[in-house]
Amino acid sequence: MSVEPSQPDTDPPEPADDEAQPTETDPPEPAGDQGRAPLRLRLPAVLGVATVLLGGFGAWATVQAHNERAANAQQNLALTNGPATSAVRRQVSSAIQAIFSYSYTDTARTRRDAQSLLTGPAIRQYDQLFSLVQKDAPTQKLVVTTSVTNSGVEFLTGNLARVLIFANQQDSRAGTGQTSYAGAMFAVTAVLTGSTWKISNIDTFTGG
Amino acid sequence: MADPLRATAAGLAIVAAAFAGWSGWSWASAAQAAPPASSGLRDQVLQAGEQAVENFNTLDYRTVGQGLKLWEQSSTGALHSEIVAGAAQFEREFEQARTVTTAQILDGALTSLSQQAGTADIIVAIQITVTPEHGTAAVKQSRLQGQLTRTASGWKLSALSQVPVSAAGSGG
Repeated sequence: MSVEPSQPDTDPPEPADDEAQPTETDPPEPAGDQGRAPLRLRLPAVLGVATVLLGGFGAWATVQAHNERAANAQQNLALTNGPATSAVRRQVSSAIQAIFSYSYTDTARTRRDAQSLLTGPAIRQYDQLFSLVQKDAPTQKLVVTTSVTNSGVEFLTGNLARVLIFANQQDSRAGTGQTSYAGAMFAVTAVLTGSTWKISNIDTFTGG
Repeated sequence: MADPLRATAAGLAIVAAAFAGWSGWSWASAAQAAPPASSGLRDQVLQAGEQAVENFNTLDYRTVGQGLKLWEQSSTGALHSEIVAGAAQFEREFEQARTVTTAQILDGALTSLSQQAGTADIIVAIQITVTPEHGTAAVKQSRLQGQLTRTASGWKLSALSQVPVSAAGSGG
């Protein structure tokens, strides 16, 4: 900084001298009028150090918060977050009941309503399952009511869940008065779209 | 007192303090949102439960004694008493049946978990293969529900049953 070696730091640069006290001595006077002069430089110095420390802490805490959030986003919240677990259980269960309950008189309606509950691969999977229904239901005069008996959330993050569902299907054949029951099980993958859980994959354990 | 150095230093310090405060709060709230220790417990109980259910659906007529021992070790409470009381009869029946039963867990989930009470409920989708001494194996899928209870030697099944097919209350 100092080009001339002859001048030590004791003399402040000229422009700053204007309104300052005439002398700035190194050892600060204990009290009195002279105290203002060192304070004028000392306060900015203290503030400068505080700025660096606070800024440093802020940067560190920001990194910590980011890491924490990244880790949290991957954590399985099933059962540890009660309300979120209940919400996904309720929505997926009612969706399963809706898409697998139908009457031979209007299978198209069930299929149409299902579209708002499905997304991704589940749309094609459901189409495959339900095209059989639409073929057989009218000839057999089938009325099927599906009710979920057990459901458990295996995995749940902010927007992805896997739910194991046991359901009972009550099949009635109109005209015959016959009713039969069948059990079904599904592993359902659901994704949160907006505020609703939509079914994105249905595993019926028939793959082998 | 219009001292630009002081004003600048003070301004920067205030900005830094605000940043530190905000980021500290952000960190604290992120840390608070971290999953509780029960997350590890859930995984542990589910694993213990699935293993116990698998044990209960595994039996070889040539080693019935061993198999029943495993059932006893995997159970507690009412289920355990049932096994112990019926052991002699089970042994006779299984040896007569001459079948080997193996199980594959397809999927499983806890439907409830109470750390305080030391209880949990589990549902398991299972595939059971029964191979007779002569003839072909029969494969069937089954839906099981069980109750788990914490014991001094880990979580064990205190109840296990098939989920009934008919709707509750309506026989069929």
